[in-house]
Amino acid sequence: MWRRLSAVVIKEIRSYLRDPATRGLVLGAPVLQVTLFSLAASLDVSNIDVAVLDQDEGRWSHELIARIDGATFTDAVVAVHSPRELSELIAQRRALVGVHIAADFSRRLTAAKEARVQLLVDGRRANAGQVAVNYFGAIAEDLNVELMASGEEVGKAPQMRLRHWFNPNLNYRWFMVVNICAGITMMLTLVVTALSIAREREMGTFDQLLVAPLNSFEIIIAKSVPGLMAGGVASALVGLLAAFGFGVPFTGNLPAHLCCTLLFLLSVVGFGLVISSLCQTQQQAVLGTFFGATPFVLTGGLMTPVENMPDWLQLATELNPFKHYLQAVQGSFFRAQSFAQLWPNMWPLALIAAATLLLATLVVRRNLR
Amino acid sequence: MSNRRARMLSALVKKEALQVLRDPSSLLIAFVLPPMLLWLFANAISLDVDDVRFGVVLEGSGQAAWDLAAAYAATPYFRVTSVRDRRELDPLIGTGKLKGYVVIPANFDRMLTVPDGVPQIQVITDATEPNTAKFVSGYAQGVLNTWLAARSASAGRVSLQQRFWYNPELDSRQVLIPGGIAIIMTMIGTLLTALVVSREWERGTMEAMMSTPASMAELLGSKLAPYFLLGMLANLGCAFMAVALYGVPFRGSLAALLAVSAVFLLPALGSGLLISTLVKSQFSAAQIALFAGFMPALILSGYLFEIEVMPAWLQAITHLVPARHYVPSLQSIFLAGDLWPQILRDMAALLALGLVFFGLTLRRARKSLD
Amino acid sequence: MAPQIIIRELSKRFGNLVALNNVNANIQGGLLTGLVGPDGAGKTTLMRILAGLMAPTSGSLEVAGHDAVREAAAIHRVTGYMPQRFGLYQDLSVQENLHLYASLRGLSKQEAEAVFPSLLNFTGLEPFTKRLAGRLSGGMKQKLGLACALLARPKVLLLDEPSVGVDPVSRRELWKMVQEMAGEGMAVVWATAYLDEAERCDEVLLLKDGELAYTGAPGDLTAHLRGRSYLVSGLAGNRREFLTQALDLEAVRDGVIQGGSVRLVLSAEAELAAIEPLAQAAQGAIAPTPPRFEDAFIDLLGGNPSGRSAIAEQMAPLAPSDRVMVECRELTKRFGTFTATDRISFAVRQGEVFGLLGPNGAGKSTTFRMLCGLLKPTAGRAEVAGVALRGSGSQAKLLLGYMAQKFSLYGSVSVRQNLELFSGVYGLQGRLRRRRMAEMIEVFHLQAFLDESPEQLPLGYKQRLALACALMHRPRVLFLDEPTSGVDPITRREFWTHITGLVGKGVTVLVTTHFMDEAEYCDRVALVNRAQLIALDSPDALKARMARPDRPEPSMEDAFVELVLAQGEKGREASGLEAAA
Repeated sequence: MWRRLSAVVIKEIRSYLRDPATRGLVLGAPVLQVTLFSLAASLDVSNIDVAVLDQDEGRWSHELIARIDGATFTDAVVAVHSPRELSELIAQRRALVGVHIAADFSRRLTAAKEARVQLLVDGRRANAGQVAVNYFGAIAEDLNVELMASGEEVGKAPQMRLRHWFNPNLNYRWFMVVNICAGITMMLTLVVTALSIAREREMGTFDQLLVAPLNSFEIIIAKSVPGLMAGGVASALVGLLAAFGFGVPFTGNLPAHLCCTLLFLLSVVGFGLVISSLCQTQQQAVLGTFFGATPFVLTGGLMTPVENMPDWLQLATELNPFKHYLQAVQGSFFRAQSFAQLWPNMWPLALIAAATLLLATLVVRRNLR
Repeated sequence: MSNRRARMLSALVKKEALQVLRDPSSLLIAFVLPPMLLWLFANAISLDVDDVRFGVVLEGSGQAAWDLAAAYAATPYFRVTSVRDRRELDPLIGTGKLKGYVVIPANFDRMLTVPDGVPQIQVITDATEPNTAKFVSGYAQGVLNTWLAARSASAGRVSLQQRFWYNPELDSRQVLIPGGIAIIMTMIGTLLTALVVSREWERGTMEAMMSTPASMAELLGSKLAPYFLLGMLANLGCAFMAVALYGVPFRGSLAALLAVSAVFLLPALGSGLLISTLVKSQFSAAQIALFAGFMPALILSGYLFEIEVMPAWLQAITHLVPARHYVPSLQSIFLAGDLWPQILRDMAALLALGLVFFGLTLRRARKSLD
Repeated sequence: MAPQIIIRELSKRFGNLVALNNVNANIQGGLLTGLVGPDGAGKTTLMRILAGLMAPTSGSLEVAGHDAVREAAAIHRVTGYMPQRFGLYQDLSVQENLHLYASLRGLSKQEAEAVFPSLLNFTGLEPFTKRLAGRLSGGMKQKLGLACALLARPKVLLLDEPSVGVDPVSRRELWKMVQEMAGEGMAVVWATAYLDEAERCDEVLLLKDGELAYTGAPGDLTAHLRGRSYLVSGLAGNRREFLTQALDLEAVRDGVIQGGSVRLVLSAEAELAAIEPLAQAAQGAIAPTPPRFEDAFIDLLGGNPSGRSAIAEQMAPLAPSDRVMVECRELTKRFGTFTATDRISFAVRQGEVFGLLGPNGAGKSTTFRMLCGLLKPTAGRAEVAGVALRGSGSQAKLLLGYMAQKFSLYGSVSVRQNLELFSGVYGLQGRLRRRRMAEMIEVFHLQAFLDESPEQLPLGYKQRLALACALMHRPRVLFLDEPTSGVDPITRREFWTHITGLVGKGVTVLVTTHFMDEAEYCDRVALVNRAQLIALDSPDALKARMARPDRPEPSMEDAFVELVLAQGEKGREASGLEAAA
């Protein structure tokens, strides 16, 4: 059995490495994509344009505008002279936030009263708007602390000491690089595996394997190899890129992380083989991959956290290997999770892998019986 | 155009339409994919952080400490776990079960009252996902300030009043669903077109077509009409679903939506044609369409990630992504109304991109097997 | 009358490869011109250039008065071109395909409506106008392809190997149609691997290595061979053994088996006396027989390769026995409501060459696939060496060698790696594995291609490699599904040399083919039509059964066509009865 198996496995490996295009796909594409997409994908906000309508022109309004201008997240601060102009700039997307300071702003503050500033935010850019509002809130609070200090003694303001664990500088790119690495690994593994049997069927070579003295189990093992290889190489490559290219710290346990990666790849390979053994043509396999992978990616928490989803959908994501792997990867890179802490993500992966691989074997066996 | 030419074109268009109707994968991409993606965009992608699991460690027992802890427990954004000992919460942060906690120390009340005392609270966040960490710390600060303001009414105070235009509740769905239509349309235009044209090369029908008097421009051009129609149908279907199923407002006009969508389909279909004339095999065409069509539309279009944050060279690249010029118009038409200056600007950019893609396609696809 | 096509010093190069070299020819209207030559001789390239799909590297070409380089668009208007794969849209119906091509060829609605009935009638497609092209049988696809090419009454009709993989009945019908077209003044160019077709052409262009080796009437070429072809019949011993020995003789240029007899072509210098001793030893009677175009073709290309199979000679003979090696009992396969094979039964003994013949879609491949365990029978049994292969263990599968109809080796790994794969999968290892591989490489001349992808090989070498992969583990039973489809006659002879040699060692061979001259090599042939077995006998007996006073010696093809048509009549009557009831 081992002799026969090794012959097919060696062929799978050779077949995979012979074609320069696929070699490029394994090595070049992931690096390019990780670099490009992690530079692009940021939910952080910077360089935003602000329009200011200052009807007060007093001490405190100047102070506020100076602070807005000096903040790191703003780019241009445009002074406007009418509410109309303000709304026009927002409507045409030339400003994300419009700041409207009323004429009595400084007067009210000096009189120790509450002075309101109106922020008009473009709701079409929901995320950016919300983040920007947070930043503006921080500016206002700083101003308030100064106002309190300048006012009469009214008791002390407690200080808030803030510590961000695992990513002290809130470097959003770290998070995205790690996620995109996992996502690219999955897509590549899935495409390679899903096409493997379908391509052989279309070329007619699958019949040759079925006629040969191989059983369904051996065929499945052999067909898992290219996907595992592509996925393994890609994940190692992008992992190194994340750690050394983007400087993301790896704080966890490397063997445990590799174990998670292997389980994840197996579960993706199993899924790909199920698609592949059901499809007659490559076109079907490509579509199957797309229809399968998109929900995995979108519900896995790559772009937005799983916690933001409705509860029932969160429950459904337990079946999504990508979600478990993302959590494991974040655990290994950022949270310094040990083998035992990764276990809650490992056993679902193992279970999914076992189920999909078994299903694929059964489908192939149906071809043999 | 002579009568014969017209007949030739209409026959090609008819053939293409019949093939669409008989090919299950075309129908799948045109009619199953859009609702599926729209459903995912509506449910799986959400930027609205609420119901964050948050911990309050109340080490002190004074009135002020208790009061502040109660303020934290009352925030609608947090689902609060209250404990007495921070050691209970540390492991929860390590496994991501808790997004952050605040520690109100035992000496909190005393420090508030003694002359030289500096009262301090500590906030710890799980910064694995920095965006959530930022929201958590922002809210934590906000709660503290509100609590403080209630205690000291005698100083002047700046309060921000925020109004979110076009989307008063700041529901990210209302933004993501219209934007998602751009991604769906990219898939229909690019993936479907790339697949059908490369299929003709693979099956050898292109060779037979090329031996007829029809010109290459006519052969390729005739592919566009049915897929254009399919794209527009999907567009209307998506718009209808967005409004009827997911409660997205529609403040612009149908005319504006159709106009900008029609122009968007030019570069979308054009890039599909370009891909298929470059690679001629369905397998490669599908992969390129996914990686050069779908992914950029998702990530480089400003749909989810702000373009201003990207490095300048990448911002320049985004101009080559058709969806980048389509997403803003879609969001405006749904949420704001017909903002013609912006829509026209987008349409001009889309038209230019379309011309570039078609030009490149025709240059590549000469009527020869050499 | 001026020639419709004038080719002057035409050459075509792809990079360093010279596909066509200095070709000069005139092709007349009203004549059927055959384009023949071995694989890779440049037939398809020339066809594509004639159709205006490629530009020549140098030289000039004029088609119906238009210069091919400067007026390519005009060429598309005056030519009808049918590519190898017919160029039909599988998901459009017959009618829709016709409408599409009519519009593309610039016919007005009235003109189109006027030609459709005659074309449909002419091609016999009338009853199927609503059927999708993808659901048509090979023969019908070919006729539809022809109808599409004929729509605009082109002055020049170009057909690129229209008959590859198509059964003799359909080929005959197509031939008749095309002849009619030529009769009306059209210039027809017909590229083909079937030399009996070439023989019936008015003119042939014979390409060899990109150069024109012969041009003129096929009869003129054949005439050179007068007095060199002989039929040796009444052989007492094994006719295969006799052929092998005859091919060893210096004097014998070519030899094939024809039922119970052997047909030999002597070399130009040789005397009849050279073969007489051998024939006498085998008690065979030598009679002169008219030369064929194929004789001339083989002669021109250097004669039959050696008659000895180096593979068979390496092999230890299997113990002779009368054991039934392959058996079908009431074998039935239904796909939905469609019956692919209907209660087919036959048994093949060890050491037999068993041919499975029949029109396209008759159920030959389905039977094969069930025997090999690739399809599950709906009813009945399919056994190899007494075992049903489907679901059986590895041991049983080791008995079997299988060469699929479609070329099916791995294009993504090299030739050597394919050999390694198949030797490994069949459990060979160590010295034995290396020895067998070396043997295959030598015998099939694969040395030069070892590091190339099988997809890059010329068709003949592809098929050689496929046979090598099926033979390495020395199977006792060999299934060959159209192993020689589209392959040139020289390579086909080499194939049959190996088959003959292996059978001599006791290997059992099942083969399907559309070449009737290959059917003559079989000990027995089973004729399958419309899912049923309609005849099962030796080639000679089948031919004898179809003899008529006006045609005392029918060819295998005659026998085939008539048997099939006879059952067709019966089938039609039966379905007529059903409809009436």
